[in-house]
Amino acid sequence: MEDGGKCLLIGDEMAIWDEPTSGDKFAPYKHPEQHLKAVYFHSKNDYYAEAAAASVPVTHSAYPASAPSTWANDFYGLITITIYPDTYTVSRVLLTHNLGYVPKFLIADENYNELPASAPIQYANNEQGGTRFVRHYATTTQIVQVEYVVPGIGAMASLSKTYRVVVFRKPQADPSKPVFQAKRAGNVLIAGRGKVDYSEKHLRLAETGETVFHMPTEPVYDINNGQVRYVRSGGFWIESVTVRGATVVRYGGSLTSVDYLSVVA
Amino acid sequence: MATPRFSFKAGRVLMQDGSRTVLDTAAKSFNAVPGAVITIDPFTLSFPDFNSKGYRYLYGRQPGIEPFNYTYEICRTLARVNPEETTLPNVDLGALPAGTDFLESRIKLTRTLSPAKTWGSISPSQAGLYDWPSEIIPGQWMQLLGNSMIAERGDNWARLFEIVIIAGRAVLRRRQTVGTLGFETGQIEAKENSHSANASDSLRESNGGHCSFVNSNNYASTYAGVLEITPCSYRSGS
Repeated sequence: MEDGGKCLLIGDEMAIWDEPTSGDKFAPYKHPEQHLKAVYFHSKNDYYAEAAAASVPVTHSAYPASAPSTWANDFYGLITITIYPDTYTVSRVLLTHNLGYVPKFLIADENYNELPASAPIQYANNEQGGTRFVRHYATTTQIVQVEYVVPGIGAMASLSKTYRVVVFRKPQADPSKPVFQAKRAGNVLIAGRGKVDYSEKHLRLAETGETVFHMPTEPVYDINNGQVRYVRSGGFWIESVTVRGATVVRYGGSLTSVDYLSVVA
Repeated sequence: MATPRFSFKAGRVLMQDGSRTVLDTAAKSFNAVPGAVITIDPFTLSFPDFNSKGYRYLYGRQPGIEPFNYTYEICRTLARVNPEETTLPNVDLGALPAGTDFLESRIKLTRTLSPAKTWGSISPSQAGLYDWPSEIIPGQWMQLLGNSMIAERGDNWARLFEIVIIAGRAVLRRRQTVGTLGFETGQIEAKENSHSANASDSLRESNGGHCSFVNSNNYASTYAGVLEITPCSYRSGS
């Protein structure tokens, strides 16, 4: 079928694609991997279908300033070096999925900003070195958050966050199913032998009015002059600083914005 | 779960669950290409030693200590890393299908080579107090949202890696930075000395008995494990 420049073909495979302006009209159907931009759906491709999702409120604890540790103290106190070594690590399960394999996942904050694998979520007292990170990993049963806190010389206030987790199932065609099936009786609508089922949510670009995740399409970090800048959607960034006596060492790079997509999952 | 709907009209293919959009040519789904997944196992992520290393010299002196009017002196040298901005050579990770505009990546890495523990060694033969930092959770699958990650960072230094598309190929980029004034990682040597009031000092930086200036620490860091990259497309059009 063709309509308005779009093609739909259900044969050995199922595909939806933009009709090429020249050449073989069916090229995207035959070789989707060579015509990715033209292809909207192809039963040979995979899609990110939601297997589980949760919004998880977390109250991150307050921590006191690190106790100073005077190191290498000599008898007369002629040379003393003070460091602030306290750190805290807390692990928590954000979601139990029990899929039996390690799934792909995305994680975002309460504003649907997707978080990088290790994300600074709080700096204490601005220029006093304290940082709270969250890091995430997947197992065959869970999505786990590891919180790592370096209070530094200032106390770290408690912080309430909500983490939005989406776990994707392994895309798998079921050879016993047809390449496309639509039956009003029994509410059946599948494409690609079940890779896409109408009853599931799939990762795609957002439409107007939908609640969207902000997904980066390019690197969100930059480093310069010993410092790290992390740029979120909307051009908002947070960065580290180093203080050495009266000298403040700052990021001197130029990363101010990152392309973010609006997606639903 | 509502009523399934499928339509193809006015150049738009739409699959819905009631009014909820499932698949829509006006809001393209992420198309992943399973046949083009790049799995590198073993994958090695490495950062070399810092370019410039030195020392910071500390000296203290207390004269006139009774009952013998002797002088006490002490020196300490601290291992210092000097400022640098280093872009490491790119690592080619493999070809991508034409039209790939998004990489969904994940890693499972464990550090196999680590710099020495930092701060607190009383002498080079004694262990330091703190492991060299890392933001990679060892042996676990971490999703690389944004395809960039700080592998390691400390006060005034950081190491970054990212996976990007360059000329139709997946490429690993790495950089490391040490800020103005550098940073120190621990003690090289400490010495104490006492001498009579009329004897010369021996532990000043310019004296023959000075503390060692040699920062022999190797700050190279290496991770090994698995990298998996799934090429995707979300853009439509030519």
